[in-house]
Amino acid sequence: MTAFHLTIIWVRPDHRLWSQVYPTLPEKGRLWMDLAYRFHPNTLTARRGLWKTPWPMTVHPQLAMPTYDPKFSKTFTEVSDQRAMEVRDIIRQGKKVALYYSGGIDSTVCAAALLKTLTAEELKQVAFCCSINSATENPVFFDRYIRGKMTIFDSSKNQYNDVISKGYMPITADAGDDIFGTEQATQFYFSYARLVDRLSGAARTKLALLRDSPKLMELPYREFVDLLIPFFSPPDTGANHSRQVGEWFYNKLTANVASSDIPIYSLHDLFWWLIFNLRFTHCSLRGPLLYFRGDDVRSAITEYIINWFNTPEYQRWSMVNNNNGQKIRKPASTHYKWAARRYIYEFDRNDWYFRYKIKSVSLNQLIRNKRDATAELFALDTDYRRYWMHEPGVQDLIEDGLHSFDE
Amino acid sequence: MSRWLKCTPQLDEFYPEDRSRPCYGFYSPAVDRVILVDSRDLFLSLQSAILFSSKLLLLVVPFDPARHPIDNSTCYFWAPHYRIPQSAYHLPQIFPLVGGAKKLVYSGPSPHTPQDEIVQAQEHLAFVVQASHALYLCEAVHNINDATPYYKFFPEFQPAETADRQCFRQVENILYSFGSIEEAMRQIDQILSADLLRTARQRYYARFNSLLYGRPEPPFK
Repeated sequence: MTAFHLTIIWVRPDHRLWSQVYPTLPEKGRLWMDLAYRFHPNTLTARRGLWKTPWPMTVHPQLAMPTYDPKFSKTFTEVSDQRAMEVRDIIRQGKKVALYYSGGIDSTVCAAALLKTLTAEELKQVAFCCSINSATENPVFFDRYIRGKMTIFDSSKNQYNDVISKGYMPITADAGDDIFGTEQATQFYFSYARLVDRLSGAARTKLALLRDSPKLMELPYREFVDLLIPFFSPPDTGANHSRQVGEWFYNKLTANVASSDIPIYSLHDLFWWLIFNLRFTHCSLRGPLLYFRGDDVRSAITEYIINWFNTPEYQRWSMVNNNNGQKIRKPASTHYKWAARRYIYEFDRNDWYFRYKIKSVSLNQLIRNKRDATAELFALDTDYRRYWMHEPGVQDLIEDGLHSFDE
Repeated sequence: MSRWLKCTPQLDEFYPEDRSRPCYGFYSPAVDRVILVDSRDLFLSLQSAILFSSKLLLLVVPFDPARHPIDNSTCYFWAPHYRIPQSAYHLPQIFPLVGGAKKLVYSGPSPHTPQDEIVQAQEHLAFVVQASHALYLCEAVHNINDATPYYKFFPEFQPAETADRQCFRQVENILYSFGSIEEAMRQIDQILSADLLRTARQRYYARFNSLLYGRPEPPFK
């Protein structure tokens, strides 16, 4: 098996993988399993640079990282407007699209771009797939632009396969976090004081002074190693061992950084790279894998589902807009995804959303039986076959990979 | 004497004994500060936070006024000791301060949100809090024999839409979605003054305004 997508193995603490297999694994195999306590239900699969996994894998051709172009000069607005025009071209081919709209910043960018670009006639070919959570997350936008004006599908009742069967191509904004480098970054900034409190001595004094610095995220990431290692350390694995896992992961990540050809300098760069390089595949495929009920997952991924932020332009914009305030202006929840906030504000002029919108996890609300699905999925191979933990032979595959994993 | 009506330390955390000083805070995870404090009613505070959530997500934090000398000119210097993760709460709720790590501490001015913006949010929220008291108290006092709360027990019946119910829902909707306070005041007045030939409406109108403005008519009339 060569995989496009690998989940970190997650099994219950009483599973035989922990009780019987884990103690027999080489050190790196154990460390990989321990990562599940820190990054479950995510995957960490590199698109660029040195990154070894226990099982062979390759980058999905539609999810490859474009070449780095330091001269790329399009603005976020230009890139977003261009993306909307690409969707307009799809509609002009006689197709219909359904935007999975959560009310969060990423899907509101898609909505604003479509609403400002498409004609009234073209907008009749657009449906909004949303729920009461979408309405409560951005009530003003829902009231002004969606309610009574757009076709609505209830996202709690319509998975990707359902809207495809209605003749629509689903649009997902799931890779928005990857473009802006949020998620782990924002968690780190919020946890900063708590992480500093656990330190002692000179490191604590030095890092405590930076706590409220508006430029925290633009300082070199190596200055924060005393915080990053505990941050990457999984809880519930014993203090000493936990730190060992965190240290191994930090070194693995920085080795990946060193082997890539893209400048990674600041604290936010590091977090951006973690998601932009290592989690882009996961963010792009988790929807089709967990929110699509059907056999033809290949067509779902390659033909039907429009991954809004997966374009060379968005990715190139992301690669050249570090440390200039476009992604995050201050280490605060109200200042992340700055270019996207501005784009939405220029469209709807909603001061409250612009100033105070904070992140809300929305995909989890979409995936039914999330716990079972995410725990059970192991991999997607290059033939688009899904490997489930309970299937015969998969446990052997997992054990073989972990036993032979030695960087 | 009933064995049930007694104080417990857990219950007292939600209903502090000293109500002469503020004991309920509206905490904004976005700003990471308490933006308004009040001492009147825990559940109406939560209801106000729900109405305000179209603008800003708030958690209602009961606190002991003896340990937290906070008023509305200082509350935006206070925050929970450890910042609350941004994605932990999607909708307003009561957030009890249990354990030392969750206590409110003086944290100084917000490093990321200018004070004038916080004060502006405070002004809007204060209006919603006062208007919520006016609206829900009027409903409780004047809406005699209203069966609406019982429909959830009898799902085979649909709530009847009367003029009074429609009126209430419209005012509630304005408090959820208003832009400017002045505009909201006028829109609410337009709704509540539409049917003043009815005595019951006159009483409702006068009480609502008295509760919101301290006089039986709005200040612009």
